[in-house]
Amino acid sequence: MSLLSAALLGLALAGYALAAVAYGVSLGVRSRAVAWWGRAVLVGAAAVHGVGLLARGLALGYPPLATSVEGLTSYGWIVVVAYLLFEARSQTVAPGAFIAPLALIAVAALLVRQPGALDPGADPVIPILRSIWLPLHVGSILLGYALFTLGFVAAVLYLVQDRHLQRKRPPSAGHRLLPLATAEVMECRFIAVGFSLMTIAMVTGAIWSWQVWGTPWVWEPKQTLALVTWSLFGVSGVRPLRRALRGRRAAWLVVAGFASVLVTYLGAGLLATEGLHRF
Amino acid sequence: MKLVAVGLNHRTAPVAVRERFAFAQAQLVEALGVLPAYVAEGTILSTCNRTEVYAVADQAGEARARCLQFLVDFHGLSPGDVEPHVYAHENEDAARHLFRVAAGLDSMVLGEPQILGQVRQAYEAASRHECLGAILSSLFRSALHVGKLVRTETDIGRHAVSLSYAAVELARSIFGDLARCCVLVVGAGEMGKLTARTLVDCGAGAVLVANRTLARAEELAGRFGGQAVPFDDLSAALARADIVISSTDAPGFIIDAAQVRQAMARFRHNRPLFLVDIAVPRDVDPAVQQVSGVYLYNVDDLQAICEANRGERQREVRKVEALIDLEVGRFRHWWQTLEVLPTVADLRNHAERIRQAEVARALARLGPLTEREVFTIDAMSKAIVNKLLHVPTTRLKEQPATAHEYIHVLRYLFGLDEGRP
Repeated sequence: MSLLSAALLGLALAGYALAAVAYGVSLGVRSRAVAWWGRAVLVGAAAVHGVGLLARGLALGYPPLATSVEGLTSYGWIVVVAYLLFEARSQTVAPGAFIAPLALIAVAALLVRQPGALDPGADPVIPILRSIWLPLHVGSILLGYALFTLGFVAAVLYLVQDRHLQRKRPPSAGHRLLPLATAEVMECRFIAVGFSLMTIAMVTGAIWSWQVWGTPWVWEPKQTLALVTWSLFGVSGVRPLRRALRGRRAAWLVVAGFASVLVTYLGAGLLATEGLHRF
Repeated sequence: MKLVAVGLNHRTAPVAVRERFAFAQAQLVEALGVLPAYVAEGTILSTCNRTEVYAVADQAGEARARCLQFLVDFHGLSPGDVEPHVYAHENEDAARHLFRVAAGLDSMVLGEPQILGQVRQAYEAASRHECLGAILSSLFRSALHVGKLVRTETDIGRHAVSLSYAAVELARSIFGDLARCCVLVVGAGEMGKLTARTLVDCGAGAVLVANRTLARAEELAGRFGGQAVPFDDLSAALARADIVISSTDAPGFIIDAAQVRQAMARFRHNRPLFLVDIAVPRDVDPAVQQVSGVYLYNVDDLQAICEANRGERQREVRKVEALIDLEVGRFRHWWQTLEVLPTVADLRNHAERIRQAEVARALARLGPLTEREVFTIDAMSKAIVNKLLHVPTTRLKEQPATAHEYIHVLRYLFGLDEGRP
């Protein structure tokens, strides 16, 4: 089972690499046909990735969310699936050139960083993580991060289109950029839902922390950074504030928020050596 | 069997010549009525930039002459009027020409979409008047397919090359769907009206019209199904409008930065505002574009976009030609098979005549036979003929490219053309 999961993840890795190339090329040569292939490969890779995660979960006996790299891999899958839905609605394929490599890194991280990637049994999970809170807390935070990622993609599309218009360049073909208004609406929706999910994750995290550490909030790096991220998106997601900050400034705020996600998740999760919450 | 395309277009003939050979809608019916008297199959494609006759006749030279004769007779002109301006393409070249026309490569504005509709109309009209046979029907269906294909698969027709459409595309890349957008038309310049008209045709939701003379504003508003607003109250209108088209003949700016800044902050909550200043001298203070969320384009900006898009279309020509090449290849294959078919039929008939004669002779010599014996002899003769002819006929059909020479050889060797009138 574990071998199967590793093989599937390897296959997904190859698929993501191929999709990344196809999306990149389609942007370069402006070919819808190449983008279509990119999408087809991405759908296939996501399917294989999903089955691979499922196989791993079954082999481990708990959802593949326990370590940072496992979480990252699951996050990659959620991002790709959410992005495919987004692409189907918006008809814009440009972000694929960003999403596919992101998924590639997410899968590669598991295969490279996790010593027991090929044999999950060899890498026993910390006892406190064997809990119902694992899927609730980690699941909601990863889903939230995935939506923030798409919000970030929409914000970047907004900023690129805005720059295009300001420089008075010819309007670009529909499959490369989104209308400003559409990009903004998507950005708002992704951030709003992502923010709700992150709020849930904060609450469940507090309850879990209270259970295992006896206090709902320990001021350690990851939690502090998460609070910063949460407030950044709070500001860009809350309606009255959003009105005043509309457009360009709001989009920059979302970009900052996403940078903060990266620092929180990767910085504190993968690189930090201090702190209780290193996973 | 020859296919020809004979005609004149904006490149070969000045408008003074083109107008004399054009077919108005009403004339077309009459023309399609007499066309079958000249050629076996025929279609007339007549637009303001071209008059072309596509026809099928037995001989190429004859087909061209007959098409010309038709044009000259119908319009009551002399051959000398048309000869210097006419081009004629045959067979594969005629097919390629029609495909290029349908794709918009032969149009004055590269890739323009109207021509495809005109090709379709020509096809349908000829079809209604029973001027089409198998060859032209198939050719025109291929042409319509090519026309659609190049517009979906390439960017040949994608980007605006006129000011008003450039404005529409920009509006779309800001607001997406125009249905929820309100257009404010300031002044009554010709370009302004045209742009407003195009926006409305492309689905803009509401229209406001402001003009120095209220009566003029009301008249224009009526035409667009919009609403007239007082000229002195532009600030209020700016708060409501998403797209502003300005084309007054005012000597100075009529929309300034302070006005726009106030509208953006106080009433629009920073909802984007798209200003198109088509007036010369300009109506909108260029400082307006410093305001966040405001996109201001003047005549030069729009013109530069159209110019860039023309270049963009030019770059797509190679892709379009490649698609056309593919379709011409398909047509060639079909056409050559078509050429083989009469010879195959002649060969079969020739063999069948010999077979029947020989079977009859043999049966006469053998005297009374049972039904079974007659049947066996007949079946044997058929089997011999079929088996002998099977390989040569399939090879002819399979290799249409080389078939042309083989047709001659075959006809000569079997004497297929002997004893014919």
